[in-house]
Amino acid sequence: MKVVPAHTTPLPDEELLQAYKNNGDQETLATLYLRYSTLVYGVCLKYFKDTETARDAVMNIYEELVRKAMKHDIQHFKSWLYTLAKNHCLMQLRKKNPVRNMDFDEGFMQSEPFLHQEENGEREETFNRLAACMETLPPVQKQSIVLFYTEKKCYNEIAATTGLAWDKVRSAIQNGRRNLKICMEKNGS
Amino acid sequence: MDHKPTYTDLYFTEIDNYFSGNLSPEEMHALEERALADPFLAAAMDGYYTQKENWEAVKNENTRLRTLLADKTAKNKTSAFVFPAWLRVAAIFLFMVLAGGITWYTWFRENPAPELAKHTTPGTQTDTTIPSKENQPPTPSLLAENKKDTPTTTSIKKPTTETTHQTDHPVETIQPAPVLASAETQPTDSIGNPVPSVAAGKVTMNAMRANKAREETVASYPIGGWDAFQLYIKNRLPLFKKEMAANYTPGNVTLRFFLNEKGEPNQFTIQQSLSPAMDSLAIRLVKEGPLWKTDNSNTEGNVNLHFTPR
Repeated sequence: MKVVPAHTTPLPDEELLQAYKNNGDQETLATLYLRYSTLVYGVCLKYFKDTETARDAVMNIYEELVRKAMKHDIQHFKSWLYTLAKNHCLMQLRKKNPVRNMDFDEGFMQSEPFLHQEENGEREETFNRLAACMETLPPVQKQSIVLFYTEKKCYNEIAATTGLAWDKVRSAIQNGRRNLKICMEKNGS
Repeated sequence: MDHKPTYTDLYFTEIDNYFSGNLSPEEMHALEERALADPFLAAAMDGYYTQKENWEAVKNENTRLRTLLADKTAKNKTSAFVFPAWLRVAAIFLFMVLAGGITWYTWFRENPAPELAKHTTPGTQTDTTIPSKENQPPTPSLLAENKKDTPTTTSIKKPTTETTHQTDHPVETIQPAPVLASAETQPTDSIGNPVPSVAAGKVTMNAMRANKAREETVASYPIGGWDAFQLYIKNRLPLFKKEMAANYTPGNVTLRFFLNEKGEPNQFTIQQSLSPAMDSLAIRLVKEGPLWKTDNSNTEGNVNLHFTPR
């Protein structure tokens, strides 16, 4: 039996996944899953807001993973697992409540690079457009963005400064990023 | 090999420190910045934030959850083992061979037969003497031809050249066991050929070897051959132990019977009797045994069951 001690030989996710596909050893898959089980549990908490329901969901997602990992061609395990976990939670919520839950996934835009690497000549122009777009943001979003990116403040510090709650700070930053991106694309075309 | 694998969570400590207040503002900012570029991490932090007032419980629950997953994996790991393709093919082949053998054996033992009483002829009770033309039960015409030279059961009558194909070849005298009947008691059929004999108590090697040639010389024989029939008797006999406890008598019972178109033995005649109980047992063993192979020219079957001393 092959054991993969993650602390000594941190194989990449994709190699572990391939090893599981080759030997069917659930310890290999568990090694992979438990790298991210804390994230999965957090995602389940986000949707269910209940520790026990979230715990059951984490176990069920693992069962689903055992079944699906063999069949699917998974290029990037972490992203695939996030989608699997999110869809599982949404399916459970829909079963429980037929009324569709509108999920505004604020993280949708987060994987996009905030700014593309550009040539020096274009960078100044981009900076000018960014400055112009910043002025269009609502005050809370603008203040949060400035504090977070310019002054490198953490959410708690921004919360202390603005009087907003932690989650509101996070939302303000995320929404500000999205609005800036839309504004930049609009002005750049 | 017994081992305890080490599982590492890439985020547990970091997130725990974040919500436990163990990180500096710079470290918190760094994690938040990563979360803004990592939707999975951001969603998880959102989830944990909803439980921040109950952080110790959540933390313990998370630890417990990881233990549960590790235990579950340990239990399931053998079930998910993927056998090599050649081993799977070999296993399927072995399964088919075993299944075929068991099916054949079960069929052989459980071959359905009508109730004994229905086919027990008057001879089973009283016909312990030499059968003669006068006391023969009604028989098909072929038997009537064969009865032209009715033998006794107390001597071996050599085959003559004037009768059926059974006499065209030398017939091997069956010697199932050293304790088998002597030449004086060796039963013969209606045309003087020795009756196939089966040791119904102990099956000896002599009997097994002798049986191999028997199918060639006897027109009617149990489907599966004599060795299989002997094995059937050997396996079947213990089922009657209780019934035989008081009445078991060693010796020979020679049966003659007719075979219907399906090869089922019926219309039994006791050519050599041992006791009513042993005669009934012999008939029952044959009736509940395998079907018989016969050809159109011969619908008669003979067998001598030799019950050895216990």
